[in-house]
Formats: sequence, C-alpha cells, structure tokens
Amino acid sequence: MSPLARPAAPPDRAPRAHRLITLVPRSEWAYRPRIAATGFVIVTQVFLYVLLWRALYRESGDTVVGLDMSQAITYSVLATLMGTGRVILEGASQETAQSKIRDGSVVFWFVRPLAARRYCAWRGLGESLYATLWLLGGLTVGVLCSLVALPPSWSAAAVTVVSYALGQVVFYQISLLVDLTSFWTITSFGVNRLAAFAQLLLSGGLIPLWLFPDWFRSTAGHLPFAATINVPVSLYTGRIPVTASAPYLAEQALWCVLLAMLGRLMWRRAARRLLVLGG
Amino acid sequence: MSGTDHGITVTGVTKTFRTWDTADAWSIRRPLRRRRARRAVALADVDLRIERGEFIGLLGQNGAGKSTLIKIMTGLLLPEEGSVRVCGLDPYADRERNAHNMGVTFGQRTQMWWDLPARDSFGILRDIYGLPPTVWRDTLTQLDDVLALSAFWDTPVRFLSLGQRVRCDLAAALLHRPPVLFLDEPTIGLDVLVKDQVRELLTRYATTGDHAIVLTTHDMAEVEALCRRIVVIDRGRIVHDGPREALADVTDAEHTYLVEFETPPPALHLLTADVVSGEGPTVRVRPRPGADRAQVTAELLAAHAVRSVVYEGTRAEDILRTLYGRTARQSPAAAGGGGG
Repeated sequence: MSPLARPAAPPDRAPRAHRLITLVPRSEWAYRPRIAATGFVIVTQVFLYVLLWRALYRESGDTVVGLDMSQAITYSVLATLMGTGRVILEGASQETAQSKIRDGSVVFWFVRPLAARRYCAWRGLGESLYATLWLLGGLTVGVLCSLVALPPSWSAAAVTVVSYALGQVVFYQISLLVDLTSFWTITSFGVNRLAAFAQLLLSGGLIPLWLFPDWFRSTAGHLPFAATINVPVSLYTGRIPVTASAPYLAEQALWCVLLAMLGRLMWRRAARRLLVLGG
Repeated sequence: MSGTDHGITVTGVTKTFRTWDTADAWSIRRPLRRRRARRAVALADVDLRIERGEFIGLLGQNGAGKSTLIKIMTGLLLPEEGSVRVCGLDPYADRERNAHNMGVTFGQRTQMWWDLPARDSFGILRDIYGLPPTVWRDTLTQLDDVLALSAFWDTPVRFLSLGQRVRCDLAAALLHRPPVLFLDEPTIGLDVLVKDQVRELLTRYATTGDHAIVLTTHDMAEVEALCRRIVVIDRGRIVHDGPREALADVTDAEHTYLVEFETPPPALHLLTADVVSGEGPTVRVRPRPGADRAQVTAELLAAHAVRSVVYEGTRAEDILRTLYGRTARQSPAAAGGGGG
C-alpha cells in the first residue's frame, strides 16, 4: 500500500514548534533590501542623535538633568537599536492577525495541532532574537566607534540583560494585544498607529523620559511602554543604579504577567470571534 | 474501533448568527434609535454521518450553510445545539488533538508562508505536526509524484501561480496523512490541467477506502467525477442525502428529453413519454411516471429515425438547479439564512 493510502498513526512526538523562531529571520532574509533599509534607518537616526546631543551639550554645559553627553548619546544609540529594529520588524513576516484576517487565512491558525497563542509566541520569540542581533551588532559597532559607553559595572550589565529580556516580553505582549484587536475591528491600522505613537513617546525611544516634566515622567514611567526601552537603557547607562533596580524589574515582571493574562483572555475571545470572518 | 471512530458524526446541529437590521441603521434624524438584532439560521437540526472510505459532495447554493457546517466539523465554530465527532473527538473542545486527524483546504486561502519557498512551508508544517522526518519525506515524495511540486517548491510562495499555490496547499493539507479531509472548493479558479491533477490525487485517496472526505464545490463536473454520495444543503437543512444516482429521483417529474429526428415526425404518440413541445425535427418529451431513460429511448429508436437524444435535467447541475428552484418556491420566507 502506498504511504498516501495509509492514514498516519497519531504522532508520538510533540510538535517541534521551537523551530518557528527562525520564521522571522528567514522572512527577513527573503527581502534582503529590507535589511539594508533597517541598517540605513538606524545609522541615520544615530547620526542625527549624535549631532543633536553634541549641539545641546555645547550650549548647556557638562550635564543636562544629571546626565552627561556620553550617557545621553549612549542612551539614544541603545534606544534607537531597541526600538527601530522592532518597529521595522512588526508585520514584516506578514504573520500578523491583521494580515491573516484580511485574507481569511487566519482559519489555519485554528486547525493545527499548535494553539494560535503558542504559534505567535514562538514567532515573537524569533522576532525578539532577531531584534537582539541588531542590538548586539549595533552595540559592538557603537563601542568600537566610542559612541557608546560601556555599562558602569558588570552587575549593571547583568541587570540590564534581565531588564532587556523582560522588556522584550512586554514589547511582544503590547504588539500582540494591538494585533488581536483585528478580530474585532477587522483592521487594526488605527489602533496600530495609536500604539506606535504611544510606544515611541512613552517608552523613551524618541526622547529620554527624564527630559519631560515630572508629572509626565512619573506617569509614563509606570506604564508598560517604559518597561520596553526606558528601564533597560537607564540601567545600562547607570541612570538607574543597580542597588535601586529591584522595583523596576518587579514592575517589568508585573507588566509581563498582566499583559500575558490579558492576551490569554483576548485569544480566547478572538477564537470565538472567528465565526464572523469569511464565508 | 467502530466505523464512526474514523469518520464524522453530526447530530442535531443547529447554528444561528446574529445579524443587524440595516433598515434600522443609525441616522441623524433618529440618533438614539437602536438597531434591532435578528438571529439568522445557518444550520437547523442537521444530522450527517460520514464513514471512513466515503467521499461525499456537500452541495448547496451560496449562503446555504455548507461553509458553516464545514467550520463546525473542523472545530472552528461551536454549534448552539447538537454535537459533532470527528474520529471520536469533539473538534471544538479537542481542537489540537483533532487537528492531527484532519486536513483542510479553504478555497484560495493559503496556509503557506508567503515569503518562504514552498518546501520550507512543508518543513514548518512537519515541525508543527511533529512528523518524523522519514514519514514527512515519503509523503512529500508521493504527493510530488501526483502534483509535480518539485518543479517549483524551491520558489518563494509569493512568486507561485494560483495553480501552483493551490497544489502546494493541497499537499500541505495532506502532509500529515489525515484520515479525514475537508476540501472547501479546492479547485476554484484553476485551469483544466491543474484540476485534473487535483482530481487524480483525490481519486487516489478515495480508492484507498481509508479516508472520510468531504468536498464542497460548485463545480458539478468535479462532483460527478469524484463523489459517490451527495448531500445537498439548503437554508441550513439537508434536503438530499444519498448516492449520486439517487439524486435524479428527487426531481424525476421535471426531466425532459430533447429528441432530434432525421425528419420532422408526424404526430408523436409514445407509451413511455408525453410530448411537451415540438418544433420541426426537434421534440421535447417528458417520461411518464415509472418510465426510465432506457425505456423511453428504446421506444423512440424502435419506431423512428432519431439523430440524437439529450437527457435534460439528469446531469447533477440540472438536478441541483431544479432542486434549488423548488426549495426557493416552497419556502420563500426562509430565504436569507446566514452562514455560507
């Protein structure tokens, strides 16, 4: 009997879904000009930040709100590397709920032996690792060019790594929640735009949060957006000392848990919303 | 293990959808008026049993409820009443386990990864389904033999033609060797040659007797070529379920035969049929109750020089046209059910 004729026995091994982490890097590789574009955007943005900070510090003296020029430039380079890579990546693989809902192929997320929630989580992990490659590459070049200062201590570096990992989880969860709104709104362009604006402004990715008024800084500092860039970069630059890092890390972890719970709830509801999509 | 453990059992399934009355849409004159919600019946008390080895054609007009039924059988929708079992599993509650048992295609919607070569997509599916590499390779080779995938499977999916992509999607649905197949319009938009390839593959599957296959399509030639059993759904209810040949009995009284004689016949009197109309050498007759096609033809040929006989209303397409028209006349108020 030919193999086609014989229905398979139930698989005796778990899905090897971890291989899905290569999905985003492979999709990016398929559009190599996009990789070059990402590099160009990062280099240009860093160059402009360096010009801006140098001009500002020439006028303002050695420190601005307690930060010297080297710290400011280090902050901006790292924030750019953390933010731009991710923003450019969003939706790059076309594996978002929004794009899948628009072409109706989202149904395939729900007829496979891997829950859609897990599928997206593995893909998101790949996205994070890919973005981290950009960060590490940029950081190396930045240090070699003396644009980026090293962290004040090994312990600061270690805490930064933990904070960055938590920040990536928060980053993924925010993107996911925004994407999942497509199940209700069909298109999440509007929500995406609002979220991108909030992310840029409130994460400290565009301008360090400590340059804002106290009321704004204290509010934004407790929102999940700050957990993605402001906290890890502040730890790296020494703006948040290692000894004071625990509450920040705890807050990041809390956002991870809260957003994950909200995400789980939305996934459950989204699976029910599937009924109205497509004939 | 019983037969239904390998097949599909649908028992008393009902599904309605909420729709909004568009006549009550918001207007500036009556800004506080609330739209009224209605429940449109997509499926009403549907019973269906498909055993392993059966290949059924699930037919119906657009909006009749076929896609809703497929979505319920694949676990995408939860019925409000009734139950569904696929290979003994509840497809909604046991979605992930059930996924191992079924292969699905949904028209031109693709499950391939757009930017990657098709073979990479097959590799991702191997990982998602946890297929042993040897099984995966063997199945892919078998599918390649019929669908000729290797000619283009190293090309990114975004560069494939529709026919190539549909073949890939069919392979993707079969890669894990599911015993149950749901094929929702698998050849829509394809050219004749690709349709032939797809049909050949499905015929191979059907002849093994190892699979329960459900095909929905509007292509009657496909149904006649592949399906021995036909289920017709209309306004959420099954209006016919039986062998393909029995479908003709449903609309028996409405068959007519178009007979072309060598020369215009004199007044025609037949024992097996009544004359409906005539123009020159062409006469349309309707078989009398109890008379079948062979008897009418034999009587015609015995006494007349007949050039051709066209059996109108006996092709699946004609029968369905009659059936849909009849149910629409019988229940005009029920029109406009939801689903698809």
